[in-house]
Amino acid sequence: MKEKLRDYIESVFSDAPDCRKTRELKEEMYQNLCDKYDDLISDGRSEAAAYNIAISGVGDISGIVDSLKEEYGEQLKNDSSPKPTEDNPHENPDEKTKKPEYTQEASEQIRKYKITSGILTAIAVALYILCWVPLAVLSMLYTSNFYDMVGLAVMMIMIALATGLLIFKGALKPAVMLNKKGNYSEYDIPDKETTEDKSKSKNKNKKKKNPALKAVSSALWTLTVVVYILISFITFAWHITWIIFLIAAAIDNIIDAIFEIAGAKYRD
Amino acid sequence: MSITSDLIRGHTDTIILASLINGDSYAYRINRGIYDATSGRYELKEATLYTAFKRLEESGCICSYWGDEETGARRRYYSITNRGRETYKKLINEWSEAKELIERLVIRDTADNG
Repeated sequence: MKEKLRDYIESVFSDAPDCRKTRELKEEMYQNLCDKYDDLISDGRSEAAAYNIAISGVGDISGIVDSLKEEYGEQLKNDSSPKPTEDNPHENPDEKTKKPEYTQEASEQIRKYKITSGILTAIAVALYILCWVPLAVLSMLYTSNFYDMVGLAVMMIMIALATGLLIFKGALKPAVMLNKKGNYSEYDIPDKETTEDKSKSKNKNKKKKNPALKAVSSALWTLTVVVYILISFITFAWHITWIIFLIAAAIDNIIDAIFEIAGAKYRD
Repeated sequence: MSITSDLIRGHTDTIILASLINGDSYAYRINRGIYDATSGRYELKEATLYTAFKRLEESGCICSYWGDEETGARRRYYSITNRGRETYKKLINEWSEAKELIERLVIRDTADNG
């Protein structure tokens, strides 16, 4: 007969959400109904009469079930509220990157970044390639050391510009891509965003970029310039030594990749 | 009986707090106590009882815990808190005042008008 009491409890709570509070209340009510039933039996009632009396004392519990539903609904809402919304991909970059797919806005950012990055890289490489031209032209036209120095200065400015462009390109990388494992190398990426977005993603980059990686990268580029100038002045093979910068760029990316892989392993 | 029930139901919280003032108890024992105290003339519906427990627990007047019976039956016990005791005193004062006023308002010596 107690099984019937259990069945009865299950039936009146059939609409209630399956949560801890519901289970506790069911257990509590079942236990109390059993107590009542036992008392009625010991008062000499028949099993059927005891069951009916016990059940009739329960009353209308739909109000309780409704409040359980309400609480459960609120709990669900609270649980889900910290999740980032599509409108604010910038607000929760960490959450974002856990998702297997980029949101539409994020993919748009990545697409733009790729275009900008391509243009910036092309300009930088062109500057590297052409940087010796002013020096060569000036040395051919004039024999004076002064013009050699002017040519050298122009060349150094072009190199500085090109290097600056590459660094700037790295800073544009959208935040959503920084923690994404493996899908994009730096060369695949790039973007062009609104001015506001740029400053945002720059900040994100500053936060995300490993400080050790930054130090290694800047040391690499300084070294590259020193090596370039040394070799060029020793060999005077200006027509070919600019390749050092391409090699340096490749090394820089390899270091980036190594850091990224190590970081990914660490996160796992 | 139904009007009486409605009148009493308005004091469910006071009745439950009164049942707990002398020690922790569980739902059936509280209701059984009410039944016995009224010689079987009044008993709370369980729905009313659990709703009241919930309300009182949320307002901090009572707290609950699961007893650890050796017989296997696990009962949820309720315990009155200090705030519950204060609320109980306040409700009793309100009741005394209301009872006195209602009596003055509704009791007339019909012999005078007859």
